[in-house]
Amino acid sequence: MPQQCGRGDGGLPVSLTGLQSVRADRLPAWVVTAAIAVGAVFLGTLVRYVVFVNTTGLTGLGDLIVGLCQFDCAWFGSVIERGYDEAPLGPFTGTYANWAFFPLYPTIAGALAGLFDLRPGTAGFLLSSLCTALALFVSRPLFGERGRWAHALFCVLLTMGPYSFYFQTLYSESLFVLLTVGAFVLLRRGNYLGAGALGALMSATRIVGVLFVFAMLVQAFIDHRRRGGLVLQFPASLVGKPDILLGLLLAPLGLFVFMAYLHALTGDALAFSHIQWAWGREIGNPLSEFWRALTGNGGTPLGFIPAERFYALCAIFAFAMAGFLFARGDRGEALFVTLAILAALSTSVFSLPRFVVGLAPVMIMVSLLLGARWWLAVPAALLAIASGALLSAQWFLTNPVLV
Amino acid sequence: MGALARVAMLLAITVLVGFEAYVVFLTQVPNVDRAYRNYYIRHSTLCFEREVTGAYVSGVPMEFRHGAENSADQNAVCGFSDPNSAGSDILGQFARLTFASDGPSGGSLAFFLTASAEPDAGAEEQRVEVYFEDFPLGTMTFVQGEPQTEWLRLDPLASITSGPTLDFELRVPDAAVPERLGTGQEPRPVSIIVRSVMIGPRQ
Repeated sequence: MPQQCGRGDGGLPVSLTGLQSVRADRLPAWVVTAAIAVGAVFLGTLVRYVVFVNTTGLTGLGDLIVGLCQFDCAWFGSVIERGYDEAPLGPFTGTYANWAFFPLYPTIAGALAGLFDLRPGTAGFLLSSLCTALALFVSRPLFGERGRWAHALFCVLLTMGPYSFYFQTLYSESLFVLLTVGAFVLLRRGNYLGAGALGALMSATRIVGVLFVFAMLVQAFIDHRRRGGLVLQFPASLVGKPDILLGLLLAPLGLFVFMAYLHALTGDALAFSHIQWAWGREIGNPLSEFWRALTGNGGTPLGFIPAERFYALCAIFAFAMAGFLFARGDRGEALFVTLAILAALSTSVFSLPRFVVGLAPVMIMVSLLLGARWWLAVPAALLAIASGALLSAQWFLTNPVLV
Repeated sequence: MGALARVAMLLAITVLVGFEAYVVFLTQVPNVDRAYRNYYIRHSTLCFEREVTGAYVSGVPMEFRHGAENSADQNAVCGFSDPNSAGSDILGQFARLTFASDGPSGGSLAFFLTASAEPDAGAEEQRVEVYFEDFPLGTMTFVQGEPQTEWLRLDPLASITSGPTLDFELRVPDAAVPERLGTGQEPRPVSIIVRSVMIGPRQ
């Protein structure tokens, strides 16, 4: 097909897209995407390594892996090393347990550690890097034919951007993003069974994974309306479509299996939620928590802004992206993001940055907005790399404000 | 979709509905002891009692700071927060401590507490009512800033010690919730930061 006059893909000057397409034409598209995904993870590791060496003075790859393993990394490691605690424990308080850390990620990392005789941190480093590369590869269809620059920016954000260190250490963010993009790809293709199966894995990875069932429900409703169905006929239409119904029931299965296990182990199926009280967190009104954080001065100052207000601003950012997703027609993704942020806010604004970067639709929407034009994408990528490097340095210095 | 696939799906749907309904039922019937239920589920207490040995060295301050030597870990029964470099907060309206005992002890012993008022609690001063084996020993007062050491005589009550441990309760009537005060995110009452405790000769 002849190149259109003026602007090419994403507003890139024609001459440059021309060169790119000549090279791309020689290889299948999936090979190019795979190369970009692997290359981005490799580059991200390299950038992080340089930051690590400059921050700590240590040079070993093992040191980098240890340096990446901060805060909750130890909790995931505890699940790998001793399994789930039968009772609360911990010095002075005796109220902590590792029940809040969902099982799929540490189970896979533990299997990897056992298979290759690795430390949990090393297994997490390898598993997260692999999951991130796969997520970048699998997510390509979500950007559309003309979303090459947006996808490239997505690769930069996840591997080198702000808080990208979560995608290369013993944290479940990388696996969750991989499963999320996979589930949404299948959902868009109308594969409810496959999407439900991935949803089950999502809900076994993080509690918010269970919210994918609402995205499925929205998509089923949209599909029903597209087929000319009436609103009131929707519930009855589900009965006639066992694949959709089964997909919807599969999606929360990971959570239900974990709850059944916790009941058998501790006697409390909701132990994963109740244990939050040990950290002083309980389920409350997400909007009042959001307002309290936004208008108060809580938390260690992050430069000119109190930490809790920064976290509240992260929630606003995620809600804004949900708004863009909705306007774009990605209703399921919009609902998923909105509910996930509300769920996070219902206990605390703490860790909001981590939750936001771990929500694939948010990062995809950011990439689509900033990657629409190359002259936006390039500075955005450079800014993301610079801020990602700064935040990585703080992470290596164990700055708790980042958690 | 073939008839066989349809039947298989309907069967799977039935099994999943049954299983998921059963797990929802399980959430309503937790099989836990009273201490767990009160602390984690009802939030009716902030004292989740731990099994501790009560081991201590008489006359040596038992530390509540993270990583410090002579840790009070085996003396803190309940009501304390995770220790940090400053010490450990009392969370709630009281905290309990225990010290292994060889039986009634005479002499001029005292209970020493080194602490400071928690700034997030809002008040400049915090009172600590010390109870020994359920008997009021006295009240201490701590202010914000550098840790202060207060002590109370133990010898008048030493004769009531009959068990293998010396049990203390630190009640903090001025404890306040930072979340409500707007001084922090903590939804549980805080009062003082405990740095160390000691049972030793009166000074």
